[in-house]
Amino acid sequence: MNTIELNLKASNFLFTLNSENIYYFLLYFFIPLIFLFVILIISSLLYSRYLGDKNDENKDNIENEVNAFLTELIFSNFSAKEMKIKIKEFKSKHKLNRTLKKFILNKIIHIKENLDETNEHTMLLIYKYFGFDEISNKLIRNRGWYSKSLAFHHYQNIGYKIKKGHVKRFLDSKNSALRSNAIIALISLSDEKFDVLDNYKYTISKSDEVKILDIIYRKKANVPKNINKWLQNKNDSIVIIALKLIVRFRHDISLEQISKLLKSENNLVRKEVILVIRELVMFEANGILMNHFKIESNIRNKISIIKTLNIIGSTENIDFLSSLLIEDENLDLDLKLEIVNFINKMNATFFNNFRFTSPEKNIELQKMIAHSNCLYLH
Amino acid sequence: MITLESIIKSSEIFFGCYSIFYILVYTILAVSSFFEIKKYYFNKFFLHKDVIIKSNNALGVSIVAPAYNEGLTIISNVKSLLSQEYPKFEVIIINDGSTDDTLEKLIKEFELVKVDFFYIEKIKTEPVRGHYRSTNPIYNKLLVVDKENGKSKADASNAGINSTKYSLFICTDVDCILRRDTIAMLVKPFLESDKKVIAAGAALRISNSCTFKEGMLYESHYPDNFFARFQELEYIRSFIFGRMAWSKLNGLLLVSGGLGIFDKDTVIAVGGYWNKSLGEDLELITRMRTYMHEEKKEFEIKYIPESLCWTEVPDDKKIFLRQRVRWARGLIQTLFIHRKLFLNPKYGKTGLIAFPYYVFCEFLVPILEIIGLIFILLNIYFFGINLPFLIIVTTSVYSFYVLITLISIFLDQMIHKQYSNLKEVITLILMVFIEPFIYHPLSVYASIKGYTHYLINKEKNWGNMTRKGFKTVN
Repeated sequence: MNTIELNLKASNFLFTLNSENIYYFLLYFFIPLIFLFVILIISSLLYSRYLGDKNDENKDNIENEVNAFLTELIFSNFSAKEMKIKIKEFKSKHKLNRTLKKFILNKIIHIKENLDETNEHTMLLIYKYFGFDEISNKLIRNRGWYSKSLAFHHYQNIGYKIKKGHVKRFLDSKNSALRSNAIIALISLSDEKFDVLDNYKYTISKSDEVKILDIIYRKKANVPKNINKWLQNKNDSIVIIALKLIVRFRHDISLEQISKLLKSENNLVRKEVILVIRELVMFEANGILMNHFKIESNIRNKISIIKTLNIIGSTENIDFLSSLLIEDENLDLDLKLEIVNFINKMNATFFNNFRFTSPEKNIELQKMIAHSNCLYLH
Repeated sequence: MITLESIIKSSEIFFGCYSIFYILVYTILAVSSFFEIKKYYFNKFFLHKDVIIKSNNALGVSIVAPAYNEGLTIISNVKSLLSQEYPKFEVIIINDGSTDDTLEKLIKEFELVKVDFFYIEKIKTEPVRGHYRSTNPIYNKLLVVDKENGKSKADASNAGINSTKYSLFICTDVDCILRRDTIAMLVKPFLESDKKVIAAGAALRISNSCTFKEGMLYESHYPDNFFARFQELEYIRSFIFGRMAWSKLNGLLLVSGGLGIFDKDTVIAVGGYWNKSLGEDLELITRMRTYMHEEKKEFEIKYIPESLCWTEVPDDKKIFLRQRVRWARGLIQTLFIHRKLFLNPKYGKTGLIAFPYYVFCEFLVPILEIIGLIFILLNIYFFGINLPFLIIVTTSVYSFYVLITLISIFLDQMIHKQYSNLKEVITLILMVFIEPFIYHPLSVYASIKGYTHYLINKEKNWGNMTRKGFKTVN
């Protein structure tokens, strides 16, 4: 008897031994369990849909009234006492369940975010008299990061500055999402100095960067007073934010600072510095930029430098750049196109007498010039 | 001696063990999917798309959409793509040597002129005849690439990628209707992740019975066509259940060709879409993953549970089978070409989890179903059969399959209130119960046919799909 036969016999034995158990396991445990889940899921599906439809109907019914009521509260000059009475009347007239409360709170936040004319104090009073501060307070006491973040979101959008201390505690949280939402809320609630960023040691993600800039722009604040300090920050994320703000506020930056920042090991910092030169049209940085071009290792940054030269460059740059074309005929094509475009824009006749040794390269050059001259491609 | 009886008995043990393995895998996927969706929705609240849309620092995105004989719907589709709410994007339409009036219609409607575009062929493609730009500033985000037909969507997409100016590109089909905030939603993973994201995707929905207004979804309906109804179920299961779970495990091997966003540098580094592939989307991601592992770079591929794209699916048997046969060919082709990944620790999760999953739970399933059926018939013929046992096992498998689809629908309905009314949801639920009997055997048939076509090396083509266009309201 060979091994295969023995194995088969053994497995047959095992199977025979267990087939009855499997049968009963499936019949009395597995199938009923799955059946139970199926019933549960179908019921929840139908019930949640029914409930959702009903809630939408309720929201639709109350929406016009809520809009009119909030508009009246926001744009009339009610005293705090009058406002309190009006909200009390509204609450007693409408039974506000959880969904409707959430609906009204989101409406208030939406109005606050999108209407510049709102009075911060009025919005805060509406929020409090509706009792939403209790909801936010409960949320921040909740253990889950999401609930806490939701409370930050309420404070941040309503402008509940007194709660800054509650949010600050989470700046060093181990949970990165909570930490990120806390810094965003704090920046939003802080005064225009934004000094909360001074000593922030964690990396700021690209999405947080977008959010922070959005808050600073929306606040219509002046340029943060510490911005020069931020440029020297060890945290590259803070440096990048500072550079973006310099562009936004058209704030001065010295050539010395430019030179220093171009030496950064982080290519994203260097990329922002090049953008600063371009956006602030810093003609005086031309020399620094040309010197940096020689040592820049990132191809995208090199292309960005040439794009910047399109704004601040002069015919003096042509010699250096054309020598690059000659020295390395197999230059990266994207970079080569930008260089040709720049030279062609500076001196439309320059390429009339310019020839590569390879005929193929000359054809390529003519195509680049044609691209550069095409009106619809820029 | 190995007898028929012993073979059948062994096969029963094998199928029993395989079923347990399959159930375990899908249970893990269900849990992973739930947590990934939960995480997405918790985070979604804190980076509102409006912040991205209003941002001065938005990442530039190119939309690449190949078109082959799309004259019927090309104008409305391009207008729909151009109406994206995003500050920095371009739309690149590639006319892949259409034999109808696709290009003429584009030239006339968008006031296009041929331009001297300096085309850098970073990825090799069939010759490009020219580039067209609009003389009307309203359409300054549009670039049309006219090229010779390359007999594949892959070749057309590559010509589009070569013509892009931004570092991220979205690949879609020109007949797809995108939600207006698609770009803003798709760039989010690139902004939020602390690792390098090389690709991301979102859920596709079926447009067959939906109504559209001004190129945007107006009313979502559950399809009324027999084939489309089951495909809707399949899409929900695939996108909400499968892809979200693999996104959580960072093991996604597929970002749908209908809608996906990619890091251009990585795509170019791996040579773009492979034009000989019939499953170019699966093959590209597999190659990108392989490249990242070989370069020892950390990366992520993410999926978001948002329905951002509506596409028309085949509504008759012939076209449906043709599409599925092509997909099956694409699957076996990709798995065969990248076989070095299989259980290879050098390729991390890709080699040890994602790739084996595709082999054991995607590729092998139709084959095992056919073998299982043959064994049952042999068993009945030669030895009689334990009918109660067969019924119980079949019921178990059936009920588990139903449960998985219902969980997907549940998650989908929790995310968004799809469909206009409760009646459509009930119809959807009813379809879940009949799908395994009617639709599934057809899918198995198409898969087996696809595998066979691959083995006998049958010629491939673009796979024309007869379009009926969309229902619109004014």
